[in-house]
Amino acid sequence: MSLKKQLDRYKKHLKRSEEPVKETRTQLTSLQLERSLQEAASHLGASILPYEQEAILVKEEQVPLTEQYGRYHLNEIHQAVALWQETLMDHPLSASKRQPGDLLFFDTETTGLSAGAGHMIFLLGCGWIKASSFHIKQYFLPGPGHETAFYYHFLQDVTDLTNLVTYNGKSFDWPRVKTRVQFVRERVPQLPAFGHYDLLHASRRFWRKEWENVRLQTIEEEVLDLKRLSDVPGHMAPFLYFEFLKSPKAALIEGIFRHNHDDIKTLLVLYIHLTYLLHGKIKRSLRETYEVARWLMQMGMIKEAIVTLENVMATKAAIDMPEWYQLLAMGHKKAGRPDRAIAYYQQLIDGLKRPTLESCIELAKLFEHERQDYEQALHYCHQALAVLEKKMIINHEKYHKDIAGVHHRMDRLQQKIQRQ
Amino acid sequence: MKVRKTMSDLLSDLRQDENIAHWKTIPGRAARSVEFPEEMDARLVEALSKRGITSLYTHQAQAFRLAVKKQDIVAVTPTASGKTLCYNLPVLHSILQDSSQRALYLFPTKALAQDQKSEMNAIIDEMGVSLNSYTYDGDTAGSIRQKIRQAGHIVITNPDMLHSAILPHHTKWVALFEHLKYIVIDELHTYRGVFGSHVANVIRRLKRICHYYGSDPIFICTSATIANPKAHAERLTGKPMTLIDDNGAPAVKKHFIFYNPPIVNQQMNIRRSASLEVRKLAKAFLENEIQTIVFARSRTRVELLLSYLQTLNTGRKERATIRAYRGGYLPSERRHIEKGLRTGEIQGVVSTNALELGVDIGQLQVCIMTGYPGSISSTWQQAGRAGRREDEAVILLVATSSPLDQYIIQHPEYFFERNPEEARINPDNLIILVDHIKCAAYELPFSEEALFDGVEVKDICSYLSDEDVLHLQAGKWYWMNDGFPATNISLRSATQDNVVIIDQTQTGSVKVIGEMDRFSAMTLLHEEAIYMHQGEQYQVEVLDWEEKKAFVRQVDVNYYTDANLAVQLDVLEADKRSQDSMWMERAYGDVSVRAKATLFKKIRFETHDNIGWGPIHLPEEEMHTSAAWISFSEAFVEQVGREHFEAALLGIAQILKHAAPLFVMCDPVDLAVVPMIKAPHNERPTIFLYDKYPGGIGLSEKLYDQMSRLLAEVLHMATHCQCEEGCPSCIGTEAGDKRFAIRLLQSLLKEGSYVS
Repeated sequence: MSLKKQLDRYKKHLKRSEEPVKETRTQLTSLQLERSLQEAASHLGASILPYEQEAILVKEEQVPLTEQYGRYHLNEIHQAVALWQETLMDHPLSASKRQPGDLLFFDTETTGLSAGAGHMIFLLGCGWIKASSFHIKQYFLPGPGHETAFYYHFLQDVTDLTNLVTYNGKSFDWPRVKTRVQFVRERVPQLPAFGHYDLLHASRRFWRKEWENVRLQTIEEEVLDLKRLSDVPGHMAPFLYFEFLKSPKAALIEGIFRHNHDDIKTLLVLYIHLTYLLHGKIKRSLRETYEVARWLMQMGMIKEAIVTLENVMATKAAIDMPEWYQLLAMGHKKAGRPDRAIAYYQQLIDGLKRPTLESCIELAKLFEHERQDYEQALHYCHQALAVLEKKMIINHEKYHKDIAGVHHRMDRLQQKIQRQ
Repeated sequence: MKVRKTMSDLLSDLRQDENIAHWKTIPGRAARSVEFPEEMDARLVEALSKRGITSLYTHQAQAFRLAVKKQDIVAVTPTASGKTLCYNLPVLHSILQDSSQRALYLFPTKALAQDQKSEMNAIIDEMGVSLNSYTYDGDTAGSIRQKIRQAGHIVITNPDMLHSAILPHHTKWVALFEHLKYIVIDELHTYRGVFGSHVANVIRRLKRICHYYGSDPIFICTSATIANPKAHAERLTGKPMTLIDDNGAPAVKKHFIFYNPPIVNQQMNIRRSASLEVRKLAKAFLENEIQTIVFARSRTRVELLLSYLQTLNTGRKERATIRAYRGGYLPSERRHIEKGLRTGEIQGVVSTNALELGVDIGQLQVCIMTGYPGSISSTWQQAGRAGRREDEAVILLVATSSPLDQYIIQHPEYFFERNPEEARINPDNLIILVDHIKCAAYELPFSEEALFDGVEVKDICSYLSDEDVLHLQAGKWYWMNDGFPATNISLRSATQDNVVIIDQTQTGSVKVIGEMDRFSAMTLLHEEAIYMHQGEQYQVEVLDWEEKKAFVRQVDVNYYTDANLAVQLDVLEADKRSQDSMWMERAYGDVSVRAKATLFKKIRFETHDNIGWGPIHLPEEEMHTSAAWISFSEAFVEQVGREHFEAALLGIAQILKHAAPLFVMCDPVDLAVVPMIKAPHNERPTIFLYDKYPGGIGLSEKLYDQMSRLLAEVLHMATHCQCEEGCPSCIGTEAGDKRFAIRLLQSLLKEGSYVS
């Protein structure tokens, strides 16, 4: 039986869920292809850049910094960068000792979500501040056989990647760039060292509890007062691109260029927004304040963290967030002020009537070690058990470990009491 | 106090047993050793000496010499013959000589890979050199994956991981692929049938990636005893191989005993249940604290035997711990059992062929097989589990009433003198091939005239381009789809998604206890089915076919369930055809099989009474595959007499079910036999034998070629069966007079001269 015939017969078994049925089509000749590519380029306002036997499309735009985009003007980037020169210089998002023009806002569009060797980047977009405009440059791969040209031109232009600003670039965009450059590494400039501000990480900290997801789209709508009209959703991009490969019409990919262009502008204003949040330049919600403080605490800036929280408390009656008090208490404990720590924990338990396992255990520790008041320590152990009893058990192992831990502490306290 | 019996006491007891059909003593064999090869790295020699290895077995030395001379080799190594040194020595030697070199080890299961790592690391530690050997599988922590990719000298993995995680991400493995010196394939014989055909294609992809990065690795394979180790290794790797089959390892004296349970019903030729006999035999050893492994053919049988054997223990304080071991258990559970066997904490284990492989459980003293394992090779493999160094080993093969078992037990010479079976694969099965062309194209684009390890791919690529999977540009086929092909392609089962088994006995701690392929699930996990797991019975409460989930609850009932599968067959095209005689036509070609589970029966333990039934509501599954079939002429039917003929046809099909797997080393579940009084394509009485995998894996083609030999064997089995009227051991009980089946076969074989 001929292979063709067999293929026909087994069509049903050969079909996997990801593949729709399509009719056979004719191949375009290379001449037709070249002509339609030229048409597409002129329609998009892009130019064709050749390299070796290959070619890519490159589109450049200048956005005046006076433009308002959502709640910010683009030129506020100057103010934002200036803020980092004064405080929080060691923060992961800090642009200290950098100029606004050093930052490179970067986003890609790919043919699939996996990081394997079979998925490509077909649009590389980057934006940077130059004089009075935001300069956006997009590199487009007109077909799979042009990756040498694609990375050659990109890496020719972009020689410094130490200040890349992305949304999830650390685990998405950048590994894909590395994978693809691997294929053409002998014919393109070397990939420069890479340093990086991932705005997804920061967004997740601030808003993961607030909104159902922290997709860039969500952040735009909820935080940045941005509403995109007639946007091509990101997940449609691969399909439009596949269609474009079959019949290269600018209309198919125009929307993807626009989408990518908007994403890059969003990165700029999101960076401004996050900078303002961290520096207290704009009004913060309680949750945001707490997260700023928690971040500072993790960086070892304990004093700054405590000030951040206590400043807000001065103007508020009670804050219904146990973690707020715990963070404060922990800060004071670390700073060597056990009395303040005890006071905050007790405020949580006796004032707010919101005892938590952490606060009870910490109090038990503080009373045992700092004040040698074993009776009181024992009292908080009992409270800890009461908290555990009411808890909804999700992790059995942890639950039993916690209980055993409290009992162990109680035994020791009992012994100490007897010895006294 | 009861005095413990020794092994020789037990052996002399056994010698009195009248059910012993055959007793063969296989003498022990002294080791044949040679000095370490001179060129071998001194550090390696020293480390081995420290571990008590002062010389090599002849086959190990030969493997070393050939492999360092860059020859691709396959070594045939029975259980416990020190096979790991066959590959570890050349690999370690080469890396010691040049630390930039890399090796990739493939084991069929994660468990085997884990074993190998511990053994490897023990030698490396002994040498005190900086040499990294890692396992890379689904359990590997994300944090060390990068280190393994960049700095692992020896990467130990399985074909599934290679297929879905390593090859599609080859750009992250450049350090490995650029310097890949050796590829080790252990347990080569397990790569047969559908699984083997897939793995052969994964290896094609692996070679393609190596070629891209400029390496040309040497293959070192090891295999259990099969008829065609060299040919099989060559088919699997696509490279010429040198065979090493001169085994120098020592062996203890072994008693290989064929045990046939007594007949309980003379007329029907029904023998006492093999499981009951095994229980009795195993008990004698276990009570005297002799470590014993019991093999059973099916998961259900394993669970049944376990529950039988565990009743031995009641009342005994220092009860011998007896456990079950089979696929479908979670890895942690299996590790625990393996360890218990090595330390001796577990005295007895009941297993499916899962323990046939080189899982390290140490050597036990006694091996009992419940029924013939189905192939000579598998039998030797299971028997190899018995043979601890210091003592004689006992291997008991207990026959069931099945025709195959009865044939083997009455023809010991067949077993002891015949070559073991061939391992067969068909890497060019179109469905499998297309799957891997997709994966390969994902990994690297195909140029228009490219070959895939010698196979032309142009037609397939252009088909895939029509399907919007590939895109042709400037003479190259590129992957152009947002999917990740390897995710949808499983190397192990005919159908893609497994059914997950969820235990909801305890509200609040609902957990997954196993999984099963979709085809088996139709008959084993239908609603109301009794599913057995570690000796516990579970009833299936809900089977969510869409979501592939079976919800079960623990029960305690005195029956098990058995389901019927109705099969429809249509011939699509006959590729080969032969009018063998005026009575019979033989053909081979493509068929469509539609299977539907219809109803199930509840069967009481011990008595095997049918105590109830119920319908099964599951959708029909369809499959296209290859088949061999024989059709009989109308004249022949008239001459035999329609009524007798129809009965005889069923009878012959019954024996074929058991006899056909003898010819093509395959699991009986890979092959199906369906008799039809009136086949839809020619309206004639026909028996079909088909491959139970879409597109076929070459089993039925071989059966077509050897049909006359096969029928002769069937005749032999029918005539030599001791029953009078036909019995479950030969033509079954519903096939009427056995003489008609025999005459029918005789006349077919005698060129169509039917004598009534």
